[in-house]
Amino acid sequence: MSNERREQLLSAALDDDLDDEERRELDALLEESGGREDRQAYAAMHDLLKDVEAAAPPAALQAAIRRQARLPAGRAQGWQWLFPGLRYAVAASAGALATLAVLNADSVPGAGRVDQLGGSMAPADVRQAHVPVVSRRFAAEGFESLVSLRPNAAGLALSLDLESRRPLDVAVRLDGTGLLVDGLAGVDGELGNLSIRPDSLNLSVRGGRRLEVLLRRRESASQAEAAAPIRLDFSSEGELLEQGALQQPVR
Amino acid sequence: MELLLTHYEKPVYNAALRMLGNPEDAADVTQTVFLKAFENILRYDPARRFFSWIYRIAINESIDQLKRRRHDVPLDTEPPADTPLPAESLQEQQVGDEIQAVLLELEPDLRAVIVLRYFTECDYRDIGATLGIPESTVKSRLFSARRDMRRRLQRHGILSP
Repeated sequence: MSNERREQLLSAALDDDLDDEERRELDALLEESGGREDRQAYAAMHDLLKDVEAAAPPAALQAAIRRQARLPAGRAQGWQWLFPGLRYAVAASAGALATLAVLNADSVPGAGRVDQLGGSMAPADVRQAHVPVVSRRFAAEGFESLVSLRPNAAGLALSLDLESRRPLDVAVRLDGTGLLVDGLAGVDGELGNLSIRPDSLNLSVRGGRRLEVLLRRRESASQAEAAAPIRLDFSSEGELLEQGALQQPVR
Repeated sequence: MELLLTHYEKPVYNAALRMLGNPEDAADVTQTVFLKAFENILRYDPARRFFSWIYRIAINESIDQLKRRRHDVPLDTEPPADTPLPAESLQEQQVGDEIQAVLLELEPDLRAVIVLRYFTECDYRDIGATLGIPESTVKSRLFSARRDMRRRLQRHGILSP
């Protein structure tokens, strides 16, 4: 026989969301009749769901999306890539300026559909002044990079301005900093070997590239973590060219 | 933008696939999600987490698709007749199909939290941000979804009663 409270706690336990008191309560409830069966069922269901393999999207899907968005196949052109689609979208609306005005006034927070999302339609860098807090230049034979770190509402934004005449591998390491990779923005070209993990980002470039790595501060980050530097490695074909660190701004 | 496609195509497609249970519908929704993302990219506020934004579009589009088509077709992952799967793979696939079938039996609100939790690996906070609901609601919805799923999986013979 199942017990609603026990199942509630078992569900939270699967997400590691029990405090000490709840854990003790669950332990006691598991001792009761049906407790073992409930625990096994929840654990088995959790494992089954976790083991469902991700499906590969249809091979032609990306090409179809590019076509629909009127984007050039293959190499991306950064923001220029977006503009034909935007022009199309805005032209399709009844009055571009009116649309902009309405959307600009729409700042419905929280619940709601995505078409109500987002606050101001103005780009964030227009709405708020971004003052680079820390900048550092990295350079070696055949490559140069200007890296800057500035605060934003969610944490920090790490801007990378890369120029390289040789294949360049960049590693951004966040371990021990209390920061997590939250996304990328403003990428102005293709990136190779892109690997994004919560505490690291790796990519390869050749030529000039600019991008911004959005970093989110973990809520549980300690003061020591907040004082730890972000580390960067620049290498080419296995040879370390340059490495260094950027200190996080003091909050 | 290339990066958006490269990085988010698979998780967005999988979220849609689990919400809809049909690869063609999932591909349609994925396409719509990216077109909307491209068109609205200037409205994306970097202060928000990007994946929450794009998954939110994906979940909303999937729910809209469900409303439009009103058909819940089990995931069509039958292998071609001339390429039999090994017994173990076949068994895994059958279990996967049963799980998908059970997912489709859940109410869309409950299905969405399971999809986000297990197929995009979001935590409570991320799910809350994606669906626009408080974390406490995420927790209670996950509980309801799991309880419902457990019973259905038992009825399907996937879990022991």
